[in-house]
Formats: sequence, C-alpha cells, structure tokens
Amino acid sequence: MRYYIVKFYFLIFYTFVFNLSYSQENSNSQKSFKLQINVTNSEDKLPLRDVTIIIDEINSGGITDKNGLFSIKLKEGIYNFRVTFLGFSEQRFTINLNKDNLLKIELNESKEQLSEVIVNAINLNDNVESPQMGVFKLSTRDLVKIPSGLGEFDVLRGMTLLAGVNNAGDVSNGISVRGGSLDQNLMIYDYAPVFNPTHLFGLFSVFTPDVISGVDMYQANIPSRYGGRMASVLDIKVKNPYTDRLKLEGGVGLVSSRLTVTTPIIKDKLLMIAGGRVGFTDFLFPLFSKKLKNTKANFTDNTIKFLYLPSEKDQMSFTHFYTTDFYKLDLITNIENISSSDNSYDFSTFNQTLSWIRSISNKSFIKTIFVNGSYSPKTFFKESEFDNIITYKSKINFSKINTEYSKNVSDNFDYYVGLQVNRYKINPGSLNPGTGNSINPVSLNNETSYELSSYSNFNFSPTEKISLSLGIRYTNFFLNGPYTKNLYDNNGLNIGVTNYNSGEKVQSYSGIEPRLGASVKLSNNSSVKLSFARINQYIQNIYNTTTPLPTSRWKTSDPFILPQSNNTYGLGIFKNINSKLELSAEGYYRSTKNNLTYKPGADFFLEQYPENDLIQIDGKAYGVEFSLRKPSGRINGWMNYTWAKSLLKSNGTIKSEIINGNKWYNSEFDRPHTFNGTINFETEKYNTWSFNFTAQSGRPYTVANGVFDLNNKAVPIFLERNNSRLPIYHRLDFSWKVAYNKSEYDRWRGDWTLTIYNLYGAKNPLNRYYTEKNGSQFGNLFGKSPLGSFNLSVVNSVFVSLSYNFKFQ
Amino acid sequence: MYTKIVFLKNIFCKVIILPCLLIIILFQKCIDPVTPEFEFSEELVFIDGFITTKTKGSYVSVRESKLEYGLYVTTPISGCEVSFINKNQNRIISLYEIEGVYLPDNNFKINPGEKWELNVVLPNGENYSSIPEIAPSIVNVNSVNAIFNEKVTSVISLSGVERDISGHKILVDFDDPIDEKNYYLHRFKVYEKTVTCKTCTDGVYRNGECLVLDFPPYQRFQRAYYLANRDFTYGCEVPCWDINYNDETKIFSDEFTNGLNVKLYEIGNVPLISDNPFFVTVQQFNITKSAFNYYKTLKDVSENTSSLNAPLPTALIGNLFNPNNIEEFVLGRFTVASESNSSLFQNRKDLRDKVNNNASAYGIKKIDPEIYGMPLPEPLTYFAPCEETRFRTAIEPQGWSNYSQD
Repeated sequence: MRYYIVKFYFLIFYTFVFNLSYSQENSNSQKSFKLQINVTNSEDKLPLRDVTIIIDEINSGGITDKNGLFSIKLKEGIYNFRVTFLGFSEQRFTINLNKDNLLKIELNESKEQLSEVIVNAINLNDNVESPQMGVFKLSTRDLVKIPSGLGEFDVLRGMTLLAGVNNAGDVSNGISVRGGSLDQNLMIYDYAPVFNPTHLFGLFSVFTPDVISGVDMYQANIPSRYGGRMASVLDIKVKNPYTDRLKLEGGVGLVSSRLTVTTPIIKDKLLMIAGGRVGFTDFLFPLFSKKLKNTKANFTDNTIKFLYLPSEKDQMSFTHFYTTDFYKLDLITNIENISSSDNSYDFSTFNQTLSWIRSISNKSFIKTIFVNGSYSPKTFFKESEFDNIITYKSKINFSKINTEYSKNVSDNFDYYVGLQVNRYKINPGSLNPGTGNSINPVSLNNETSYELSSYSNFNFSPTEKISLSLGIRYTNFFLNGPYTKNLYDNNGLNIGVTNYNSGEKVQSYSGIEPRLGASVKLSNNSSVKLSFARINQYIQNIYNTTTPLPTSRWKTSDPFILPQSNNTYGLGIFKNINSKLELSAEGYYRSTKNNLTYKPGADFFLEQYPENDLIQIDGKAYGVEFSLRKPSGRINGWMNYTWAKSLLKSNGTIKSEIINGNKWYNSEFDRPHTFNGTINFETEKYNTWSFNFTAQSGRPYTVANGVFDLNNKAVPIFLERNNSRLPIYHRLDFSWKVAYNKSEYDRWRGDWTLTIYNLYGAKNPLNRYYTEKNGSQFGNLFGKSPLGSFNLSVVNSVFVSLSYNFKFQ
Repeated sequence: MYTKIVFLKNIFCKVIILPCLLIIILFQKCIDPVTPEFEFSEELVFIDGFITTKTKGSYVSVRESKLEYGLYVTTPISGCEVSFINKNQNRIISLYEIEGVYLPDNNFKINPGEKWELNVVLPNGENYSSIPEIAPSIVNVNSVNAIFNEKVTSVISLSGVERDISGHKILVDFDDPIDEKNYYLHRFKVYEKTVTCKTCTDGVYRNGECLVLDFPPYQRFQRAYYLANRDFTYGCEVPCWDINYNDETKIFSDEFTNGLNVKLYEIGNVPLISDNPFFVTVQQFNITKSAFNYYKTLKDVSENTSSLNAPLPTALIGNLFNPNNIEEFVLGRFTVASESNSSLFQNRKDLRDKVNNNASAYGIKKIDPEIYGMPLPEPLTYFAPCEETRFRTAIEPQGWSNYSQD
C-alpha cells in the first residue's frame, strides 16, 4: 500500500513538473493578449456552460466552462466573434485586441428556434475534436424535451434512446449499456451513488426532475475520476441555485405532482433549491377494479440543495436526496419458507453530499466531496392465518471522501489528479418475526469493505490535429471483518469456517486501470478516435430473476466472489457536415471477467453464503453504432442504428457450473439490432411536435428442450440458456407541447404537454413462459404441445397522458 | 349495432381509460397465449425415483423423449432392470414393472437413517446410478386443518373473465426438530364422493361408452327440441369417490423456523364445487437438502413462471449419473424420504349455497339424466360404473367410514 501511495505522489510531482516546464515553454513564444469572455443567460443571469465561441479570423474557437468562461490568448489585432448556443439567439461582435480583456456577453433565449433534439454534442465541433468517446451530455434544456409516458421528462427513459443504451424491457430497474448488466452502470446523483434508480418497479426514474441541471454519460474511455462499474457512468448533476429572486416550478399530473422552489436565503451568499415529487394516486385504484383494492403504489422523491458562497474563491454546497417507494401487488412471487398471504415492499434512498470547490487561480481548482448515503429495502409479509407482519430488511450504507486538484494549464493542456475513499457497509438482511412466534429472528452478518483509489487524467493536444486523453486509476479493495469464511474441500463440501474479528482484513484486491483516448483530426470537420479503458468492479447486484427487484441483494467482492473486470477498446469516425449534420460510427469490443450468474435452484434470500449459488463466467460484447444527428432547424432530430452482441461463457467442470456446454451464449442483454429515431417539428412559436420510434431485437430467453410428466405435472426441461429470442421490441411515441404565454416576459409561464406513449399499442412481451395446459383452452394455439405458453407484457396499450407544467420567476 | 358498441368500448378502454391509469394497467399485466416454442432433444432419458418409509409409496419411473410423426412424446421405457440398493446392508431390492412404472413389493418400506441408492439398467445396456442418500428422521404431522376462505384460487372462464373460487385451505401443524435442518415436501389426496360417474356430450351412455346419436331426417326436429346443448349425466352404480391431488409443488425448509411449532402451514386447497364432504390424506415427507433444491428448481421452472420476478429457467439437475460416462447429463432424481401421514374429514353442508357459483365457473353442469319420452335408444340408462383410475375409485378411502354418516 505504501508503495502505491509513494507512486501516487510521484505522479502528482511529475504532473507539476510537466506543468511548469510546459508553461515556461509557452512564455517563450510570441507575445499575445488574453481575452476572457463570460457568457450568461440574459433572463436569469446564470452562467451558460458549453456555449460555442467561434473566431472567424483564425477559423477556430472553443466553448465556455461551467462558470460560463472562455479564455484565449490571441495576437494583437481585430477579431470577429460569433457566440452561439442552441436555443439562444446568436450574437456577433468585433473587438480590437490590444490589451488583456474581459467581455461579458448576455444571450437571449430564442424559444421559436429552440431545438427539440434531445442529445446535442456539447458544442458544434466537440464531437469531432474531443478525445472522449461514447459520451453523451444532456442539459436541462435537452432533458425537458424527452417525451415520457407520464408527461414529465425521465432521465433513464431518455437514455434508452441513445446508441448503445437499451432498456431491459418496459419494466426494468435500470438500463443496459453496450450489453452490460444493470448493475454495471454507476449512477451518481450529485456525487452520491444511487443503488435503485427507479420508482414503481422501473416505471420511471427516482431523480427529482425539476432540479436536474444535466446528465453526463460515459460508456467508452470513462474518465479516470470515475470507477467501480464496468459498463458506464451516469453522472446526474443537481442545479446550483444561482438566483437573486424566488422561482417556482412544477407540474400537475395524473400520476404524480411536483414542485420546486429556488430562492436566495442570504443574497449572493446562501441560496437554495428544493424540489419534490409525490405520487399518491393509488387510492383511486379500487374505483376502477375491485381486484385492485389491495394494490398499493405510491412514492416520493425530494432534493434540497444549499449553495454557500463564502468568498469569491470558495463554493460550498450541501445536497440532500431522499426517495421512498411503497407498493403491494400480485405480480411478484412470494418468498419460499415464509407462509404469507400477501407481501408489500418499501424501499428508500437517503443521500447527502457536501462539496467544497476552492479556486486557487482562474485555472486551478481543488474540489473536495463528502458523501454519506444509504439504501434501505424492506419487505413486509402478512402472515397467513395470523394477524402478524414479518419484516425483512437489508441496508447499504455508503460513504465517500474524494478530493481532486484540477488545472487548465493552457488551451492545449489540462489535467486533474485525485484521491477517493469509498466505504460500503452492507447488511445483507434480517428477519423480524413481529409479534408471532412462527418464525425465528434472523440477522446476517454485516459486510464492511473499503475501496481506495487514486487517479489522474491529462488532456493535451501535442499537435493541432491530435488530442489525447491519458488517464490512470489505481484501486485497492479491502473486505474487513467481522466475517465468517466458509472453508470448502475439493468437492465443494463445507469443511469448517474461519472467523475474522472486527477490522481484520479478510481479503483484498487491487488493480491498475488505464483510460486512454485519442482523437486525430482528418479535417476541420472530421476525425478518427481511439479509446481504451479498464475497470474493476467490486460490488454487484445478485439475482436470478427476469429483472432484479428493488429488494435484490447487493454484494461486495469477498474471498469467493472475485471482482469483475473489463477491457474496452473503441474506434470511431466522426464527421460534421456544414455544422448541420453530425455523423459518427463507433465500434467497440469489451472483454469481461468474473461476470456473475446463478446456479440452478439459486436462492439468495437471507443466504449467509451466496457463493454456493453463484458462478463467475467470462463475457464479451462488441458492436458498431451508427449515428446521424441534425441538431438545428425547424425540423430536427436524429437516428441511430446499433449492431451489437453480448455473450457469456462458463468454464465450469461440474454440471451445476457448466452452462450451454461451456460455449459462448447470448446474455440477457444481447440485442443484435437496435434502431432509434426521433424527429421534431417546430412549425410555429407555440407548438412542438415530436415523434420517437424505437425498434430492437427481442430479449434472449430460454425455450425447453423437453417436457416430462412428474406426478402428473408436465415439467419443462431446460438443457441450455437463452437459446431463443422474444419478438422484436418496437414502439412509437408522440408528444405535443403547447406553450401559450402571451408575452415572453410573463413571470408565470405554463405549458400543456400531451404525450402518447406506444402510439399504435404494440404488445411487446417482457417475458414468455410455459404453463400447464388447462383443458382445451387456447386449443388452436397450443395444439398438441405438452405445455401452454403465454407472453407477459406490461405496456400493451396506447397510453395518453396530459400534464400541466408551470414556472414562476 | 353490437359491433359498433364493442368498437366504442374498445376505444374507450384503450384510449381513454387505460392511458389515464397507466399504473393500474401496469399492475394488472397482460398475458396473451402464444404457440409454445421448443427445441426438442430426442432420446432424453428421465428417471424419477422415490423411496419412502411407508409401504406402497416407493416407485421408479423411466421415460424417454421421442419425436413420433413430428409430435414430441415421452414414453415409458420397458424392460429396465431397476433396483434399490441399501448401502448399509448391501441389500439389493429388485423392482417389478407394471404399466411402465417400476415398483417394489407392497410391503417394502425403508427406515430413517438408512442409506439408499438407485440403479437402473436400460434395455440397451446403459447403466445409471444415483448418489446415495440417507433417509432423514420422520417428522409427524400434528394435525390437518381445513379453513374455508372466500378465495382459494381463481379461474378464467371461457368468456375470459377471471372469477374467484371459494373453498377450503388445507393446512398442517407440525413440530420442527431443533437439532437438525429439515426440508419438507407435502402432498395430499382429496377424496370427494361423486354422484356423477359419466357425462356424454352429444350422445348417450350405452354399452360402456358414449354413443353419438344419429337421427333420421324426420326426427331432426325432435333432436333439436330435446337434445340441443344437452350433456347427459349418469349416476354411479356403486359408491364412488373422485380423487384430486395438490397441483402445486409444496416445499418448505426450516431455514427460518428451526425448532418451532409450525402452525397452519398451507399446503393446498380444495375448491368448493360440491357440498358433499371431502376426506383429505396428507403426506409429509422429510427430504434431504439436495432433494429440496431439486424440487425448488422444479417449482421454479413449472410454477413460478408468470410473475415479474420469475426465476430464469435453469437445468433440473438431480443426483443421477452414468458411471461409464460421468459427463452425460442424466435427467431426474432419486429421492429418499421419510414420510408421515395424517388425514381430515370435512363436512360442507353449510356451504351449499356457494357451490353453484363455483361449479358454473368451472363449467360443471347440473345433473341431466335421460328422461322417458325423449327420442333415445332403449333401454334408458341412469347409472354408469365407477371406473378405477388415478382420479376415481370405488374403494372406500381408509378412515372415511369413521366420520361419514352416509
């Protein structure tokens, strides 16, 4: 460990030396003047990030940073500038540069020209110039335009329209990125990880919609400041409440209603944003069906963020995020060995983030973050024939300290270095028998582990045509006691245990993770990019069901469950045509090790030693993503097509560990063909019409290889996994937004959004299963088959929703 | 007009009501029947062996899969040499074959603590053995209970409407031993006295079979008048009992109940489709952990399939192997179980008024005998014999007369 700490400081030292020599080199070049441009929104005075600034004379430019700042050194002379940002009127100005200068530019929002494109490159040419591959950045402006089934935008549903991102069915507790499993995506909300990202069993995301400022998604050479999950990072940021007056924002809908308040508490010093959403309409269910009298489904989420600005150089913030769900429904199979008449589920996330950013100079910052969070799923079993509730609960406690130094040395060179310590304390489960005496109390041992990481990343352009991003992350993982470790003989039989005391090291793993990206410009508008990333994953969600329940167990690596790891390679070609069309083709290959899958008969519920029900297998995923975007104009949109494979392979030697004869087979997330298309019509000032179409290969599923009678019950026999595929998934959505303000200067603004989800009522099966035949019912379909078969679909009709959204400022 | 109403109703349901209640629809799910898909493998051999501490409870079934005329079938394999081997005493019990099932002598039973293994030699010489298992201790059933409930199951009628069915839950009490891990398998048989021994659709019962009536043209009017939509039913010539079994695999481990008195553990239900009494005999098997895991997998692939959190299909791996080819995947299992039995007689006279609703949901028709004057072939027939099958018997269940007041 000491060796690596020394190594880390050497890295920092090297960085500074490099920085120093580079700066000196620059100072020796021809004298020039520094121009800084600060761009803000004329309406709320907030800094605008990612605004494109083009300097005609040198046919170059750049983008503003998160503080709305853009700076450049230029030789003395007269320059014509263009400042453009999607949704705002373009500004042009000329400046005679003969001294260092700071210009303040205010851009006016231009609603009639507002693009409805969901995904935009962060500036007009960034998709070509940046060495980052597989990245999507969505601002609030982009997010609000994503049509959703419930009339309000949804981060995860929006993501599934991007190339390489798939849902795992209409109801799924997350997303699959480039064929990875749901738990291979790191979702962080203002730096705090979110273990269960959806409400109502996957219907929509838990993130409070109106407080989100943007979402960054990385799926190729993931920046080295992120780690711990193999497939992607979804970094969701909460708005910084820069405001000088009270603002209200919200919406009223049939399923949920929401309200957000943004206000200064102490002018220019302490500011606050508080947003919440509730869904409590389940009391209406019995009015529509008596069968739903026992069905419950309600939820809340809320986010409060305080921003404190003690000095010009310091910015501190505290974010609190709390979400709860409660539901009871008949669609979930009861737990074996607990005799219950019905089950209900309750789960909550409770996260806090404290962040301090100190500006050392205009170009260097130190950011320190403290995160403390928990995820607490519970299940309540109503005991059969008794008036008693048995409670199962588990918990993940998560803490993080992260400090990072970053510096923009020049326009061609920036870097960051950092340290991160994560602590996981997982209570795998406990059972409280309540007032009854038919169940023994159970409490599994807590699992405590630490993940120590150091990282650095250097972005520089050695020549005008080449941009490089070189990152490295080093991780150390420790599992500490108290812990009881099973000992097994060569045949897998338990022959004893070893007990570890509190704080005693049980197991450790470490790994170096290079993150490399390179962009080679072929012309001003086209480039080729290469990328490589390696990531180790030490925590995973274990389940053996069609989709994980929110109560599914999370497990860190231990002596038996090795860390998952991957190597991802990428190659892409990017081209912009007349700044109107963006074309790209990205290919990737990812090899993974120690993917988790289940053994026959696996049951992870309150299992002290889940290693007996798990096996770890190899994986590989590869594909090509073709993307075409038209980000501007009255008719705009994009389409993407992905050809991809996601495969798994066991290496077992005993029957229960051999899957498909140890040959490569399709993973649950294999989708060879995916097409997404969106088109937006902005025909006049008040109306916007959008269409989304998505089609993808069906999910692999398993068909039987035989059927045998067992005590007069027809039992399907499965010798393979995922040997067939569900029908193609396809869906068309439509949304119509009507903004009706008489004047663009109205303080109260409202709009009605009509969304038709699944416009032509496609019945996309989530699963297909066998049943025993019930006499001659469905005789034509079942024919002489020994079993019946049904498609289980969840979203199978046209869904219309209407919501009213407002903003007061 | 009707079509138009249906069309409007559909529009109303699909476009107006349903969309506004997305969550409601979500939680009601939608299932659509589809043509089952298989990738059949021929010549799979499936061996199901069971050996218990009670007489007449042990059996071995050996079947294989075939494609005959394009249809998938499983057929019993005759001519096997099947034996149970007591590993403690090196005693070999040979089984005899009857109707494709291999059985030991009627008096054969095992004792707790004994180690047994199965050996099967197919007619083609292939040899299969099981990993030996030790019979666990016997855990007695303290009592069997039947509790009436307004909903014990539901059926989807031919019109597609789901209807709740009332009936009795069958529950057992037992004391789980504290000094060992126990795994249970429950089965039960329900005897219900039946009054109908035959039903003929579109015909009448003559000479031991349903005879399709062929009327001359001039009698067609009479047929239409008397016989349209009529299923003739026939009483039983002798006292007769219908036998039903639990259709659910009921397994239970003492993972959370070790050493406790397990009360009112539900093992199945008896739908109320008759006001005659029923007699239920419960078998409680104490099985090994390995057997429990096997039945758990079996339950997952055959019953726990329709929910959102349905376990993914997986191989049904038992404890059988081919000693000459360890790599061969042998389907099925040999289970050694310790058995205890208990029974219950339940009267249902007081529930008579609830019977009709359930019976109609199941499509059970009322008694409809032949009536003098109908254009039927002579002699008119009112009774049929009680056929001995797995689901019907004329042999009075042991214990029935202790309770019955018939």
